[in-house]
Amino acid sequence: MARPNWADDPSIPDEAILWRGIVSRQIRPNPRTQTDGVSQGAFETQELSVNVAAETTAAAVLAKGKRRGVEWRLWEFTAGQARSLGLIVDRDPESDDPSHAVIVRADAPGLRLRGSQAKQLAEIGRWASVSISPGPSSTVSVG
Amino acid sequence: MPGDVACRAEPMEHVPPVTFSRPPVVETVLGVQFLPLRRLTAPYAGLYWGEIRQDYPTQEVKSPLAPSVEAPSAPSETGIRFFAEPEVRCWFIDAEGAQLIQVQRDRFVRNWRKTGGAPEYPRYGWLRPAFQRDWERFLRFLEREDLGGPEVNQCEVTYINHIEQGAGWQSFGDLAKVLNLVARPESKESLPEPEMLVLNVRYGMPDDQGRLHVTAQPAIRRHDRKLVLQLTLMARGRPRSPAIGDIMAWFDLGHDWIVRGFVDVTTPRMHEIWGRR
Amino acid sequence: MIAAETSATLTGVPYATSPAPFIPYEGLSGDVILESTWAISPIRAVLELASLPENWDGYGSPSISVEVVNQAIRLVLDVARLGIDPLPEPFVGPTAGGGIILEWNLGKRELSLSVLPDGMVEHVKSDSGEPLEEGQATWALLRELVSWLVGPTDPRAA
Repeated sequence: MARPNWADDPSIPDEAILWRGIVSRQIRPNPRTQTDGVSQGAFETQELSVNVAAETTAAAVLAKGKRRGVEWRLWEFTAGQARSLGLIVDRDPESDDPSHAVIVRADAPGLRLRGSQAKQLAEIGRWASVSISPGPSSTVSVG
Repeated sequence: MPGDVACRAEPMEHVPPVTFSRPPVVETVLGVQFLPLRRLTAPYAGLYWGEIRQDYPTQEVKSPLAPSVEAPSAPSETGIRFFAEPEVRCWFIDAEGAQLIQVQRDRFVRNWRKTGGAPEYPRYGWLRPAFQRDWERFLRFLEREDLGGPEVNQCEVTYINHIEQGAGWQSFGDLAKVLNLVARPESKESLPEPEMLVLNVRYGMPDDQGRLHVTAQPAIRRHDRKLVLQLTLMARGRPRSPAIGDIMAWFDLGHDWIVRGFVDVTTPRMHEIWGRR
Repeated sequence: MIAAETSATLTGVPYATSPAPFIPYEGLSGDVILESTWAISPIRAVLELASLPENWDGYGSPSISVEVVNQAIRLVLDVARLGIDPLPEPFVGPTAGGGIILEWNLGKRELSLSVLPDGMVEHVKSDSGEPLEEGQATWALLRELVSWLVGPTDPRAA
């Protein structure tokens, strides 16, 4: 939700893992790592929605994506990593998602993340290690 | 590409009319260029739209077309013109998005394009009177609003054809099967398959009546992303006079040249695919 | 005035394409005339993005406007027109704000060209994942950027 008064929230510690849902169109091969990477374009926006992993579960986040009609893979990085790029991390709880947070530019919270910031989020992050047990009541562990 | 019209252009030999049951044409243009009507400003274009809106309910504004001159003994030239007021080109589009009138200070153009709602080429026999009707309506508007009478100095007939990859050709090395203008090298030391083909050929009409431009170039079709060979034939030249009869006579000449040109530059094999009658 | 007869101009857009070669008639349907086969896949990828629905990423990203699609097509054609060979095809993808991005990796060098929702084009040059330079991309800068991407390693680099 757009707000004029974003401020970094110190209650989200630097080591807090943040999850961003990535759809298949945003996945691109990374020849340097020989693995699937993420397009920089996945982060080129003004207010980057994320979830604070410690305050939710991967299953809940993935289910949120499904309710919105998309299949996500979760890309993760820490709040400290985002802050080191000149970004701030602020809580933005939603009625159905209290772990929701938003990343914006520290120098200009209303402006789109710089290309270099988006690039680095695509570089420093990794795929969340998520395993879902088969069966009607899925349990998810983040390893 | 259809041609229901028998030859009537005096310098051309009489050739029986040519029609195709499955012509690859996707767009046609009949248009005239005239000396700029200085008083035909954007608000008047809007007034004109009011008169034709029932037939052309949608409008768009585009940047204007540059003036072009098909000089008799020189290659085509594109000119530059400056006006104090901003120039616009207005599109007036019918409900199906298939018929289109374009108006600017020095141009009146009527297009047909293939769309989902209008997949069949309507034939020159239909397009010709449709242009005449719309052109005459435009002339009446100009007269009523005292905007001047257009001195037509150029007519244009254009047909754009799409020859899909897989419908007669697969690679650029196959284009000799499509176009008579392209020949396969016979030498055993021949070059590898071409990566790309772009053709631009120009033919002069007798008695300085104009030119036929034939262009063949690959294109990606936007609506289905298919690779096609876009074969464009454009006839352009000056009518005997700005009178409606001479304009229509020039259109007939241009259309004849396009039909015969199309038949000449494409192969009998493709004619069979297109259902030549 | 540019010779190309039917190109619509996006006013206020700093990225200005190279002067197009003369094509007698480009047609109304916006079909993309090609001058090289290199452009086929990237153009198709751009056109595919045109059909993304609203909220395609689950975060409310808008569908991609016709203007952005057209600008991305012009950008691909301009890159093709540079004639820099060999040049691999870029990754073509949507951006979260409703733009289109072209991304290349060549060895350690990476280049991204983003068409933003307002039609402007920005670039990021990176080496081994570290951004070196970013800013507005212009047609004049395009050759320099792509040449850098495919060029030999600077022997002076550490």
